[in-house]
Amino acid sequence: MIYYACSYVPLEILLASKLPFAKIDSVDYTEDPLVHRNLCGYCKTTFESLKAMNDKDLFIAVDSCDAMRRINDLARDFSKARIIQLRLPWKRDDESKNFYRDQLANLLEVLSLVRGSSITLEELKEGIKRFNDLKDYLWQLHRENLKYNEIQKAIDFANSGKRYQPSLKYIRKGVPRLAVVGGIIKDREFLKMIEDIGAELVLNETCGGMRGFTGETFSASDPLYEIATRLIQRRVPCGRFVDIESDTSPLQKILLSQKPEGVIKLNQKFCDFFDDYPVPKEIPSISLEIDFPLSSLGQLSTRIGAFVEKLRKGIAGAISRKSKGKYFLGVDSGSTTTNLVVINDSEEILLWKIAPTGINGSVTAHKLLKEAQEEMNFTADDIAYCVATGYGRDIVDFANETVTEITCHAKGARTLFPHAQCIIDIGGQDSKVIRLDEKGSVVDFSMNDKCAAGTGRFLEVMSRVLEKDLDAMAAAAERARKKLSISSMCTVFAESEVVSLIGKGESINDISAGLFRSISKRIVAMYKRVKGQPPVVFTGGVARNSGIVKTLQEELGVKFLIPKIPDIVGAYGAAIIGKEKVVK
Amino acid sequence: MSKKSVVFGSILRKFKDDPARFRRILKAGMGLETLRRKKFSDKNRPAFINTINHLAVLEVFKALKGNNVAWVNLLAPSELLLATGMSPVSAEGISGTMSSMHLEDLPLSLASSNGISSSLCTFHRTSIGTAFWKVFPKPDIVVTTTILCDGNAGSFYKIAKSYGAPFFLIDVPRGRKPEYVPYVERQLYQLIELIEEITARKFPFDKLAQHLEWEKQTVENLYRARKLLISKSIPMHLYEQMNALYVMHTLAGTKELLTASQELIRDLEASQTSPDIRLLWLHIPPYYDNALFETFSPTGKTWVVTDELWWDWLYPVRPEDPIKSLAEKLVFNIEAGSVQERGEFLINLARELNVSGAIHFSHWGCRQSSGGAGYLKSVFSQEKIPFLELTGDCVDHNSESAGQLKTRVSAFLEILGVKE
Repeated sequence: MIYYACSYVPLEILLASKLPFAKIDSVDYTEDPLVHRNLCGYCKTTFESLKAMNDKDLFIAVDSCDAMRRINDLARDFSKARIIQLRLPWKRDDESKNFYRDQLANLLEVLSLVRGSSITLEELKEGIKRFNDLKDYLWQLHRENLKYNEIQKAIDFANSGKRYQPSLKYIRKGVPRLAVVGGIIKDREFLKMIEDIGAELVLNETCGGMRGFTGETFSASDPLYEIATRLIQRRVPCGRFVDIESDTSPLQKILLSQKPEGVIKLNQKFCDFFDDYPVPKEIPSISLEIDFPLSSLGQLSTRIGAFVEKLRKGIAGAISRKSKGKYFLGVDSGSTTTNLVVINDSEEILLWKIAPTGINGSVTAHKLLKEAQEEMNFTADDIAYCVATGYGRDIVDFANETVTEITCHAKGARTLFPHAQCIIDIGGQDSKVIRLDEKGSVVDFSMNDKCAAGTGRFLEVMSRVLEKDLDAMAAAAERARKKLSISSMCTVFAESEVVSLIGKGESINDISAGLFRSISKRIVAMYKRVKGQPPVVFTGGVARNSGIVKTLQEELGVKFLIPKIPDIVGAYGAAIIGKEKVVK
Repeated sequence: MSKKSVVFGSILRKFKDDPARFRRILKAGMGLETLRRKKFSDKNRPAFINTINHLAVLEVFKALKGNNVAWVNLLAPSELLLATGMSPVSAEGISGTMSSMHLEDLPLSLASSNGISSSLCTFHRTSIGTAFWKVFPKPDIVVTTTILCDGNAGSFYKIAKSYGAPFFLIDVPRGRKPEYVPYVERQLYQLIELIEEITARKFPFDKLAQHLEWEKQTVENLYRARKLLISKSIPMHLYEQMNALYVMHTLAGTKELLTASQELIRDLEASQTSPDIRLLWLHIPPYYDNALFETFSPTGKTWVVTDELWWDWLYPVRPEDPIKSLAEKLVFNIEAGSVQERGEFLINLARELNVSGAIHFSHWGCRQSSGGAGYLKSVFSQEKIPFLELTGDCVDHNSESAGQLKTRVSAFLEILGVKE
């Protein structure tokens, strides 16, 4: 079998050879000491597949990046498969095209040897035709608006030169149409998540999707030259190429033709080629950092969910039901605490409750509901609408609807402070910065990566190390004399750093101040990323800590607006969104 | 580098929001430092060290002053720029300067807030952030090759774009094959055309020939020095390895580097002291003041005698056939080859120089180096040469691993029999 991993492998030639071929499709790997941990998961899975190949196999290696280049090097010693190397140029001019043509000629020769007879000119032309047919077929499926998991299957088949007959399921009408571009993705769970959020994927532009099936190859007297021209100059280029910004880029045309309402730009961890991948300015987009294979769908779903809500200008205005109930509930099921807010028609907070989420968020939410009902003496019929938000929003089973915490925080903070332009929310396990427009709609937001750096958890861990509660830490920081630098933002490393500072005899006051600065640094970077501007509302439990408030204000040069009970802003926003859903 | 730089950095930090003022103060500080290293260098140190330390700071100082400056990567053919009177500065050197003053967090955060991926090499991220910051004046041209690493193209493109400066990318195919030479040669001629356009002058091939003549001699000298390194060594700080390798790459073909190579021979010949343990450093060392500087210092028992990147670029350029030989120099660079070729090259170097062990520093974001570290470890152990792989960050002193390096190195040295 012939294997390949990169979409710069010319399928035209593989089809011409009539040899069986397949794109490496594995998403599993074990950590191999030969492969450094700071390489992307795609390389790791490729290497894993290479190790499993036998001496009848041929691997077409493309040095698309340094990581792949090293994997290809290693394959020479650690895979039984024969390796043929294609050197992919880094430029897209005519010189580079000629260079790649020579590389393709070499491939043609090797494939001829493998099958025992020369691949003829006629066969090459046939290969081009078969490739074009496959490509046109895939695009036709897009035009027919088939469900993307069916299209993705067809793409996976086409990667082996085969045609897949999809079942005729169509995407839902009237829901947001999304496209993914950038770093590779092909996971079915991702497609399902998009659907669960209430959106539809209409294009997977990545090299796990349609990127390889772009650009025209015409039949010409020098087919190799034609194929090289498609790959280097006509197809949608990989983000590794730098000169792809022009509006004439085929990516722009494809995106505009698929009419997505929003574009999700993916940046693969340990791959840096897609951070400025060009997307037409008229289409809203969001950038997400992802792993390959995908992990932590929870955070991704919050971000994409918030993006979809943003596309639909929040939830407000979409009147959905009538109710006689008089109370509106917001439940914020966070990683650390669960918060419940009850409001009335005038958006006044009648009751609020906070409890540790514990190991069973659903039970906790029910417990809070029950307490609220007992205290205020109301039944389920009195609840006009309930919106759940937060990391555990899907497990609040008595909610009528779920909305992401991004949109809820925006709504809550803006209601409390009508002029707010930006919200900083630091919760137990994540932190976010949200920028609003004049009308209070979310324009941009940034969330921390899936680690505790820059979150409440970071402070909690440090307070344990210092054996001081958070208020005492804040008071200690006030007395700091020396500007100690806690360089690690990672909770685990910062902990050992703090221990060693204590060992060196540094004062708790100075260490406390250093810790607040460390967490602030992280937040400041997020604030800048979304181009935040005052007035800034600070929400989340951490906003009650004077130490962090003071340091962060100093770092940003901004005076915060802090709600009386900063913990419940998300739940309050959820309740208001619920109220806006209901007509009396 | 030194504690002094860190103190200077802490003063400079106060002016971070005023790039013009920041530049003025940095220029004054670096001007003084350049002068000090030229006129008041430590006469007890080897002359070679004083020269490369001076050249390293001078290169960045010139970039700070502006005027005929080219931002380049390590392997860009500086010879072509030097011939026209331009001053090449390696963007890595600029990042290193920021790092030595513990100021790299400022450009790093600027890069981050502009959406630059956090897994990109910190040399690149810091230089991109510094370009965004506009602390350095606009260069006349930005030139990069696609070797040593794949981050060059995008990073230098972003730098050029942020300044609105002309950009030229030299694509050097991996694989070290003679048939790739014409492809690179044609690109070098395109670069010459661009330089002619920028300078509005005919390209001075006569001057280029002179530079290549100097480079030829420099290379010969370095091979002589390599022979001397078998039994001798000169005491160096770890960061001086970095100064040496980046001056060698970006100032190849200058009279100054030729002088340095002559000094190196004399220093080695005159050297009387030798350490208990001689080590080879693979890839690059961290540039900011860190715990390793104490371990590997001129007064310590363990010296790093040379770095891998002193030797990758040496090629017998031909003044009579300048462009073709410069293309060959790029194509045949050992780092443009496979990890197996790199392994063989390094084993030979280690054996020849008779080192007790090698330390490979896998720098954050550098896939070509860390991607090969596991393989190198296996071949070094086959050859029974002790090998330590460190993963860390050469630029970001806030990186998570900075504090962890010392323990690993100390343990490694204990294995080699060094007693504290």
